This record gives sequence, C-alpha cells and structure tokens, in this order.
Amino acid sequence: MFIKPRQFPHPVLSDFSDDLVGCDFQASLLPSVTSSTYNFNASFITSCSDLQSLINTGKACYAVHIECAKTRYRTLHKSDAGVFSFSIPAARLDGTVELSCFILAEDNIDGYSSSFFHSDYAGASFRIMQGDILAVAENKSFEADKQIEEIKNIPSIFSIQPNKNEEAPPLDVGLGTHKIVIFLSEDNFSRYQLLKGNRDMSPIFFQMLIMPALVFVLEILKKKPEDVEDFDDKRWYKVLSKKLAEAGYKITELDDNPDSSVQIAQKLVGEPLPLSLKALEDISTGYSVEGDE
Amino acid sequence: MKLIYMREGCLNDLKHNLNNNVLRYKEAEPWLAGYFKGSSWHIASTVEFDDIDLICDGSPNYDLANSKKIYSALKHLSPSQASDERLWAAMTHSIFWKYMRARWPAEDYLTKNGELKSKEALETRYFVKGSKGLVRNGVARLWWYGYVSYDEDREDKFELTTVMLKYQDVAQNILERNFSRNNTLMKAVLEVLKDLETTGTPFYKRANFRLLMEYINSIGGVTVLDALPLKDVKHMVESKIKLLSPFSNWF
Repeated sequence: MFIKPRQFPHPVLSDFSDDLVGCDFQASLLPSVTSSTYNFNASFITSCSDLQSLINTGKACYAVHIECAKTRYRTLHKSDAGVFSFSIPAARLDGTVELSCFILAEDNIDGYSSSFFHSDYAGASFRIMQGDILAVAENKSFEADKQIEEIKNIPSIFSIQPNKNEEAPPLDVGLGTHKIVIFLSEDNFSRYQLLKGNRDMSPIFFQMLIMPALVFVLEILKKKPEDVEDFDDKRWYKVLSKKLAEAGYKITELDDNPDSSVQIAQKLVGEPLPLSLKALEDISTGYSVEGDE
Repeated sequence: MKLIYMREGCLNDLKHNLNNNVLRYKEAEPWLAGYFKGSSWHIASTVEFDDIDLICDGSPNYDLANSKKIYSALKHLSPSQASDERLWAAMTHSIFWKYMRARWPAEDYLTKNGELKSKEALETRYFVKGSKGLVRNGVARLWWYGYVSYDEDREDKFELTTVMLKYQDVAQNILERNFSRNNTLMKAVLEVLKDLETTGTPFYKRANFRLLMEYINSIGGVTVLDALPLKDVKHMVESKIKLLSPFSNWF
C-alpha cells in the first residue's frame, strides 16, 4: 500500500505536502533473514512535538503496513516505541513487499490541532478517527528474494535416499538417474529422517548435503567433460545447465573456467552458509519463531 | 500424489505461443506431453495431496463445492507456494484439464473463425496474469476463495466461503480489492453479509455491493483499515449498508 501524494481531509505530516511545517517524520526499516522468517527492525523519529505528545499519551502510535501483492499478504505492526521489531514467516512473502510507515491515530481525537499546522489551517481543528493517518514517511520496498524458498526448490533435482549396502560410506552421490541422488548410510539416513521435519534445520541440511553433492557434480563436469555425454539426457543436467547459464557459465566449458567448483556452487545457490550458521545460532540460543497471525 | 510445477521454459513457451496453440485448448484431453515431445514439462514437488475430484460443470453454481474440495486437499500449501504461476499453470493444463474444459472452455474466447478474440482473456484463466491473476486463474481462484474465508473457529469452517460465493460478483468484487488481502477486513465484510442474510435482509444487489466496496476503498485512502478492530470494521460496513440497502428501515 504505497501512499501516493494526495489531499487528506485533515493536515498530515508528509514529504509531499506542507500541511505541517517546520517538522518532519522519518522511518527506517532494516530487514534480515533467518531460516524461516523475515525480521524487521523499525526505527521512527519525528520532530513534531505535538504528534510525539499524542504518541506519549496513547492517542497515536507508530505503525508499519506490510503488503505483498504476489502472496496477497497484508498486515500492520504498531508500537508506541520509536524502535521496535517484528517477524513475518518467510512462506508469507515472495517478490516485492511494500512497506509504509505511519503515525496513526490510536483512538478518535476530537479537536485535533497542532502548532505546526500551515498558517492556512490557523485556528482550525479536526475530528480524527481511529486508524487515520497523521504522518506518513517515504515509501519503502523490500525484495523477498526467495533466498529461503530456493533452499526448497533447488533440491528438486536432488533426492536423498538410504544406501542399503553394508559397507556404505556415510555419504555418496549417484548421477545415473534424472535426479542427483545423495545416498546416506542407513543410520545416517534414519537420523536425517527424524530431523528433516524441522524447517529450521533446512539450511543446515542444505549446507551439509546439497552443497557437497553439488560441488562433487561440478568437479566431474570440470575435470571430466568427456563424461557429459552420459548425463546430458538427465533432468538434473538440464536444470543445472540452465542454472549455470543464468549465472554466466556454460556447462560444457567449465573446464576452461578459472572459478573453482566451490565458487560456482555458491553462485548457483545463493551462499547458504550464512543462513545455515544463523540457523545454528538460532537453535543454540533457543530462538523460536512465532507467526504474526 | 505429488504436486507438480510446470518448468519455467515450458511455461514461457506456452504463454508465448498461445495464439498458435489456441486450437489445442479445444482438445478433450491434456496435450502437453505430445506438445513437448516427450521431454518432461513438469517438476514434481515434495508436496503431497489426495486426489481432488472437481465437479466438471460450466456453471458457477459449483464453485463453492469445488473451492471446498481444492482448499481442503491443499490447505497445507503456503501462500508463497500458492502464488506460484508454475503450479497453477501445471494444474490447469493437466489434472484439472477436464474441469477447465467444462468451466472455462476455450470456445468462449474464440471468434466463429476460430481465432482468439482476446489472448488476455484465455491467458488469465489458464495462467496467472497480473496482480489479480490468482483470483482469475481457473483453479487458483478456487484455492484462494478458501484461503481468504476458511475459518477454523466456526462449526462450518466454510461458512464465510458460502457467503462469499453466493454470487460471483461478490467474490470477484471483494477479492479484487486490495483490502481483501487482510483476512480480518475480509472476514468482517463477510460476517456482516452473513448476519444480514440470517436476519432475512440479504445485501447482494450488484450495484449496491459495488458501491459498498468503493466506499471501503475510499475510507482506506484516509484511514489505515488494518488498524481498526474487527467490531469497528463491521460497524463501518453495517452503517454504509444501512444507507445503501433497500431494507434500511429494517435496522
């Protein structure tokens, strides 16, 4: 819900009008990402002492309106503190997220007036309803860049299966089918099965299982390009070829590329290491995620 | 059964070649496997779901029943997953092909000479086009009807869905308004409609309903509606309906 320049039925502090003069209202929003949420730290400041007074007396509040057109998500977070934070489940956002910052009326206000009103409003007062906009800061947007969702999507060319061979290594990789199959020894597979339901663990599994398998595949493609003929009809090969092309690499010419397999893998999957370390940090500190609905 | 997504390249191909493929949209059976000549046009997701047996009928009268079927089977989809065009395009072109042929037949979008009257009209039903695409795609709309109105706290969890789908115009008019993205606002409007129907004063007249939606939108230009408690939103809606309703003297 971006606020476009408009005329309100009462004076509103904004960059696009001079309804209130000699004061301003600014907001900053810092988004960060964990394994399953987008977290926002919001900071507000106003030099309008009259609005600040309304906030101090509970008649107004700071508010952030969040709207994501693609996922049809829309909500409001508000506080009487100039600094507050909130979280949104990652699955609720995708693509451009519009963030609007306000000072809103928390209650009906009879006779709203301010010493900062433009002289045109001298002596005038207004009836304000709960939820009315009293000040609006510059529109902001945030790209929910699918960094988290990609962790679910990339493995669509990976499959994790048990290796029932008695002498199975802890981890092995098979490339003979349409998916890159990550084979885990049976006891490791059992542990994986127990833990995989916890979404907070997904970045860790990504780093532990998908990344080494991806680096292994890239090593083969780099060092044994002649083996490509064995794979080029496989679904994983086609997907990987497309992903590599999007990242500026040609799958049949990786042997000529100076970038290491580790570097290429990170370009393909968006550097999951920080996410997995953050997930470990969250787990070790007992952080738990709460939905906002 | 696992949910499938259409491959991005295949999706682009179909959208790009819609004019050339228009006659295929009249075929009785899904045709993508032949069109893509054996190469896989879809990717299986990890999302499981039970078979969905939609009522294949051209009438909107079955939208409620079909919405209940789709949403009940796919309630576990996240909004992010359910906003993915690859998912709904795969469904409209495969497992729900027969439903699409019955409810949104391509013939409706063709001239007598078999040419597309409007590429956009067909595209909005079989793909997800634009910001309102999710409530226009033939199958996605059924899921989103459920998502915005399903209420776990009610004895009949689809009670508000029933109200919303009483008339097509109500559903479209609400869902295409931005305020409907807030479930509290959405439910406030639907609860008022339900209460009015219960008391024998239904408010479904098309012109008046549109005026009500325009009124809520205009209020939203000054007031952040999301900041209002449910009872205040309901009061606002009731007050406006009182002015608009031919039964206003019943209040």
